Amino acid sequence: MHGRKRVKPTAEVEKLRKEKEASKIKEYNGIVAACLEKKNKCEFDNEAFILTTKILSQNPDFYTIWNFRRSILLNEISEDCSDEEKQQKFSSELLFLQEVFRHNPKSYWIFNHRQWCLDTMPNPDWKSELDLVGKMLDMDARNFHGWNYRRYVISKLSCIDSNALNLSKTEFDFTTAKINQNFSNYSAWHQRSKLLPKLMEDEQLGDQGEKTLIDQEFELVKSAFYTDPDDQSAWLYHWWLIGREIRHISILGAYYDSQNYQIILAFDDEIGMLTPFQVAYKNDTSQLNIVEGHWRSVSGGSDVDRMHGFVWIFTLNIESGFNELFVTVKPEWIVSSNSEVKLVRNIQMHCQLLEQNQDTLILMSPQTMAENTAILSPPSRFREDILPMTMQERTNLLKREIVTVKELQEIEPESKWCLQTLLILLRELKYISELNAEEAKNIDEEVITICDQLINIDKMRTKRFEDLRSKAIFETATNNLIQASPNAQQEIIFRDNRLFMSEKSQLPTFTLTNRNLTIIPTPSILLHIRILDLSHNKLTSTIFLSNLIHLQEADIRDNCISSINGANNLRFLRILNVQSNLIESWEAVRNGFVKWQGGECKVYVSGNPFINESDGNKLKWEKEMDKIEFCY
Amino acid sequence: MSAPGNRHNSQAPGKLFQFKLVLLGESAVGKSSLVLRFVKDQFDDYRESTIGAAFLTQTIALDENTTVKFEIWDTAGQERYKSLAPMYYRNANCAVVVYDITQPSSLEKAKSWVNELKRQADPNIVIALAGNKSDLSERRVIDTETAQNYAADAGLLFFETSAKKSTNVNELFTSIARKMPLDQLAANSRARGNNLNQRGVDLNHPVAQNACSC
Amino acid sequence: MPQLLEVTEYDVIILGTGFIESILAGALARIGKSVLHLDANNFYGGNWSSLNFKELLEWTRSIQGVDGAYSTIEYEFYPIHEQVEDIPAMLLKESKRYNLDLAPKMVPCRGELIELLISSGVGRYLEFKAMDKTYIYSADTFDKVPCSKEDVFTNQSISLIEKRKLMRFLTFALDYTNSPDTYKDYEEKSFTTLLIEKFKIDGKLLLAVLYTIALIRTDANDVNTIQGLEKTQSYLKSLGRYGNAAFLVGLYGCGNEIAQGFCRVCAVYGGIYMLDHSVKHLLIDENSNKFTGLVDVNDQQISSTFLVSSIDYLPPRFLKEDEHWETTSRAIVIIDKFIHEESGDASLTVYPPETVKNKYPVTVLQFSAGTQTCPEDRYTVSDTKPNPLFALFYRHKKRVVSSSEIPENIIIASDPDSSLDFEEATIQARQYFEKMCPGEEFLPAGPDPDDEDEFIV
Repeated sequence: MHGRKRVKPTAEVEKLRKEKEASKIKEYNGIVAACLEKKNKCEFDNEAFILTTKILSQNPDFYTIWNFRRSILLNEISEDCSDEEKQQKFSSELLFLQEVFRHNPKSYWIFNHRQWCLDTMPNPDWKSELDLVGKMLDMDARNFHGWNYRRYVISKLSCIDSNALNLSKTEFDFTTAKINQNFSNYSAWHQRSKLLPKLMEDEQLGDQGEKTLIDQEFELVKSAFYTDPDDQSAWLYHWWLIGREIRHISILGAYYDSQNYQIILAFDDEIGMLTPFQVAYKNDTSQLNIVEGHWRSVSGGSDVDRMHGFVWIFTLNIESGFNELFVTVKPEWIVSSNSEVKLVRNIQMHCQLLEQNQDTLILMSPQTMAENTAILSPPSRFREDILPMTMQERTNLLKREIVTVKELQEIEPESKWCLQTLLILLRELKYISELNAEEAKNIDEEVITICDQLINIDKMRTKRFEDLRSKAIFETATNNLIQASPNAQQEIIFRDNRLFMSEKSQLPTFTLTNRNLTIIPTPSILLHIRILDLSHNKLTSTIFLSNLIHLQEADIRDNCISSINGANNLRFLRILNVQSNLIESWEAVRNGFVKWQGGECKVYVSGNPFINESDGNKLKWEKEMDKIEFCY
Repeated sequence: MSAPGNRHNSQAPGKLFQFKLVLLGESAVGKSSLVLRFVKDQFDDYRESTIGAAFLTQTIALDENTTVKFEIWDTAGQERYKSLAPMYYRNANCAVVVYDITQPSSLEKAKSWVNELKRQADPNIVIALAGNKSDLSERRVIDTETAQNYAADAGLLFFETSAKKSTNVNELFTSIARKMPLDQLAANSRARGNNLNQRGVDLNHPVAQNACSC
Repeated sequence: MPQLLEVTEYDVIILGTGFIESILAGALARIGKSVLHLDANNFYGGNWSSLNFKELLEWTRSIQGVDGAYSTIEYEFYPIHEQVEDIPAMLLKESKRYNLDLAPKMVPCRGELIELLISSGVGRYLEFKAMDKTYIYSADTFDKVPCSKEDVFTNQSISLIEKRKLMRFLTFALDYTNSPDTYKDYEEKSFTTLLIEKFKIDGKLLLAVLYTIALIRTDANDVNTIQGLEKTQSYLKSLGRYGNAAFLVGLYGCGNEIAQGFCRVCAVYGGIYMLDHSVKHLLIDENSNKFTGLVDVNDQQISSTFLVSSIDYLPPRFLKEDEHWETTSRAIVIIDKFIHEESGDASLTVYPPETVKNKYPVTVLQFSAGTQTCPEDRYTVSDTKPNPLFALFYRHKKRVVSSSEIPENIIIASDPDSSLDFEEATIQARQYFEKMCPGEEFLPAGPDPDDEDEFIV
């Protein structure tokens, strides 16, 4: 009894009460023991049934007893029993469940058993079940067992009710009512997201009607997060309404190195190869003939790693010269790194020939890029699941939502949901729209600012936002690389205290320092880079280096690297600076060069914790790796 | 595992109906004794009036699936100087009007209470007339037939009871329960305001729609 | 034949079955005091009562010209209604279905009274409905006021930005003592200034906050920041306990039903009840200026240690001058349709100052059949009128007694005040109880009827 004072019990009454309690527990344990014994002996009699009733009334989570009860019921109805009798039996079972439910509204097993009864009985009354679950949700609108059960009842009803048209509407209205009572109800919003596409399908609203409906949804959910910006459930529904367009994987470059009988293929996603891509040449009659060979990715050493990566190398089996080669990639041959990106169609590409003595790998010419983009451009229609729209409409929608969320963010600068939603909206805008370099840069900069705020606000997810920020910073920086014409080299910015200086300052160089980078999201973009400066960041791994197959000098000073990875295959690497990182042992350095394939290379290692370590193996290892010169 | 300490009446499977039952009748006809016999199966010759409980409850199982819970309201003496609060009749689903077979005026009083009920209470109220103290047959002044005829004319259930000897007490309440239009009433409804649309707020059961109030 | 009392000596005699008297009756009997509770009226509730239509007309006549708590009483039937020719006859025919509060009030979902109703168990006798809709009047229109989070969410008359501003303020106000920095610069300023400057709330929304959420009953400029925040907070704390409402209204009328509930506690614990029983005069010992007893309508002399009395039963010499009395203008209007669509069983409407040439806000409580205060298709309104069938206007005075002259052992229960709730009255009842019976528990719960072990039989 809430809030009611009881009459103070006297010691004697208290003692009696305790005795009563103890005897009740004893009685319960006795019933359980008796019931389990019957179960073990497979005695499916009425006595056993009564025992289960007693136990389950008190403890509906005792699923063993539910199972036993089902066996008893099945046993009873299996004997020749008319439909009427069965119906009667299950009806009283449903009544029993209703009573048990009143005391334990959140026991999964009650719903489980109820579902079983209805599925087993001759004439289940789904309509009255719907009424019942409506009442359950009146009592607790957030009971997700209740919502699940409702979906189940609806699915049954829509099978038997030809008038299912109305069903999606009434169900949709039901969620509206529940949300209006209290919108902090994840289950109700979720149900709504399931119903909205159905409603669009069932109700023939016409183009304008559908647009109005979607706009109303946006208004509803905006009203919710303006009312309470801390309520997660509304934001999640908003995210669902915005939707995520799949980003298309593109091929950054396909090259044919005729000298080494190799094809180099660079993706902008870390893909896994399920089926080897086809390589072919054109014969005199312009027909494609398959060329034999094998693929491996440049990353990692193990066999698993080799079937996974950004940059792929195909080595021809026959060392014979082809004038030109074509590579074919089909969507079903690859798996993408995550569900948000995918290859949408077959690609057949001509491999750019690397001429003899040409020591600069270049990215695709802007012309080729443009052709490639045309193949891979985003679809012309978006959100087919609820309301198809053109790119222009989608752009307008995203911009409209950005304005609304920004207005809220001005009042609530600390709202993490607000900022995260802006991130989503900006990302969507960036991927789907035909933005010019300036607009893309502005979006990236905005993303960087938001990530900076989120890193401070949402301490639980700092790492995630640091990565997101790194991604935006990296994308801005590399945007220029892609835009630049192949011959225009990036200006190289050397700092005064730089330990080494490249003699060949004309080489392709990439510099991105002092930006708190934690990851290099798309290292394949740096495929052609020979001189790399990523010093003074927060990188934790060097594994990305493996993709930079023409790398000659790398400066990764002052990061958070704990071991050296991805350098083994870098044949041209001459200088690697990993000073002032977090490398704790000689072993972590040595392992990076166990299968060293390049020539002489200087590795700068001072300022790492392991330097102070008195390690007897140091000299031995130095000797072993005769081509590596460790500098301090 | 949940503690096996629930009240037995709440574990009864099937439908539970709850009704408000009011007692009426002249002072000292044994209204409280009838209740006490029914609810506690006790009798006390020297009890003066009901003390302490606002109302008493007792549950009757009509059959396997139907349980009726009576919320029994005694007049608490307020009838003595015709000062019974209107609240007393409100939403009463059933009434027991009691007279004393040894007191000639008490049946007349009972009749006036029946009229009062028909005027003030819900038109569908089920009324039972109880001629109490049937154990004192040697002092009987109101014969059974007179009362029975009146009850039949007025559409009342009728029993002669003895709270002292526990005669017809359970029968009285059980037949009231059986006469209630159960099928017209929503399952598990509270007796008071049992029409769903009219159901009010239960102070003891906050409706926690929100985790916080704002 | 007059009914004479068998017992003529009591611990306490209580005159009047109004709200405060009844709580005291219940509380005193509960701890074992012998109580005689009398009322000169043939109904419960005194000046807090709810009357049916016929009783209301009778009451109107009975107080006409009497120098009591009421003045300027006028009523009128409006025969313009097309379907019905004889409106008085029609209303009298359905008279019993009206329960018209003389001093309409609501029960905050958190507060003194509700806690008492729960802790004492009296709440179990009563039925309540949520008053979950509030409207504000401005320029010939009524807007539904968003009071709770749910209201703010569903409200379509305010913009998204306003929703945020309002929620920001409400969230702050609910727990304002924990963010003193937000309001410390405004402590000396008016509440209105805080809302405008700090929370950028203005226009209609400002009026709504002042008069429907903080429920300011005077000119808002006179209310300082702290007072405003206290009022807002107590409103907000009431939300969410019984759904989306800050107030409950009693079915069958509010004050009268609650009073009857406490009277029942008194009766259950042995209190004696006599309605329609007036008092000829009080016996006050001139030397000691102590109340010793009274002589009732049957010339029976009854004595007691204490007297609790409504002002109605006191000799005029105990009253202070008229000018000190707080006066509320009230009206009871029966109308033929809702003032607002969808306003449900009970609603509150506020006219902010200066909207209908009023100096102070005018508050309107509207009840429909769902509250069991009137028949279907009739709505009772306390204080204003669209398409009226009947209207009664009166002034309700809260009389003040001159405490120096009153014997120590007479406890005076106040008239209803102008507030919308029973909070002050409840506090007064408890304070009187503590004064009369120091150290005793105030209305502890009775035995639980569902718990077999706890009957005290």
